[in-house]
Amino acid sequence: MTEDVRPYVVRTYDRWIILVIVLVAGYILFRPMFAFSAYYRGLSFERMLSLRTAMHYYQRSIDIDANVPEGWIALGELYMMDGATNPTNHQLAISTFANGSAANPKNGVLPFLLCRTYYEQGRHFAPALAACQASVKLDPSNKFAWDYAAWSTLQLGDARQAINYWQHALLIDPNYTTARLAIQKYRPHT
Amino acid sequence: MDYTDIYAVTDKLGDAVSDQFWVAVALMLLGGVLSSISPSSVPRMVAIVNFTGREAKTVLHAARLSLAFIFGICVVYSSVGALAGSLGRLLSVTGFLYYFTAALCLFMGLSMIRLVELPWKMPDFPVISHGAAGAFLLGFGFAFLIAPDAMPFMIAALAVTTFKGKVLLGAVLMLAFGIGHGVPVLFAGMLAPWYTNNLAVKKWQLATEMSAGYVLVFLAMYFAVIA
Repeated sequence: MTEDVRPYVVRTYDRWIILVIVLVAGYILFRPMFAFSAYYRGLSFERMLSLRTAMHYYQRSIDIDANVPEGWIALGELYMMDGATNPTNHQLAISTFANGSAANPKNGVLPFLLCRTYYEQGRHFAPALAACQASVKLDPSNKFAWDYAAWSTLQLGDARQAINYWQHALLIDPNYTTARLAIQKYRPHT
Repeated sequence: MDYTDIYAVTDKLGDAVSDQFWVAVALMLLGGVLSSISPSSVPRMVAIVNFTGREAKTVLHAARLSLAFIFGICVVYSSVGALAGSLGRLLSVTGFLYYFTAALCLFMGLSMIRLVELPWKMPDFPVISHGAAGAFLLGFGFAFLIAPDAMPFMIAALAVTTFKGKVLLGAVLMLAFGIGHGVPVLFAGMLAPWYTNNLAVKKWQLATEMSAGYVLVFLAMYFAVIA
């Protein structure tokens, strides 16, 4: 038998092809796992109070796979932490939650956090209500989303609708005192 | 409990430490076992299998070497548990360690697929690259590769040291974690002489090695991406 004199790379082309398939298919299939690992690294740093490094890894998680909501949630919450005193971070929190919601249209937590940021820090009640409505549409079991929707509606002047939202919250948790007291307080007196 | 939530896991462990010491130790052991069978631990497994496969002639000898390897891991983990704040410093260098591991996995993987031939030979130091001392040092080195899935348990143990001031307890918990981490390593290492010398296994050696090579290259990408 004659010796195979073809170059090494050519002789081994099947192995190269398998390697490329493994890397490309592996990355596509396991991208969510990569993103979650990066998020988990960020969480470890956050737990060790290295917030800047944590932000770096949350951002990396988003860059790896924007369809993994954990990175968006964690990064937005870090921006939100001092958003009340820092307008830049407030804006960053809003854009993080808004972009995260757009990238994860089935996740109810991101619009809820967007609602909280608008309501608590910006006192922007109309967008807060819209975000909370989007959140309860995706996850009707979140009593806090109903509660924030109610408060936003109340601030916009519609007490009747606000009571309707609190009643939804009470259906989820009959012991939810905040909603019960609010209904008692804002119920129209006959 | 949501086990994807690191805070839930660490809080649960914190509660267990306060109330029932043995439950906490058992949880750390279990955490170690679970963490060591995750994909991130493959480089460690490959290292011990290569080492014992090369060094040991009998299963008993391989078991002794594997135990030395595990002892190396346990020394690092117990020290981390005892030294408050050391995990933070360790974490800060994990980025570099992940890149280093990625490079190592890449070269080892490509070599196992027979796509590259490493042109150099590792220097052969009589003591540190052979026997129990070599296995111990190998384990000691690989212990610094902290996989993301090990973090909740490590942070829980460190919280005991840092926030409760119980240095010995933190060290014991991390020791339990290291022992748990070592159980699958012990089996993988112990059986290495059997599957490196078994004829039936040898028939599949090339295919197995190449498959493992692809896994290692994939892991190289994983470590580089999350570093």
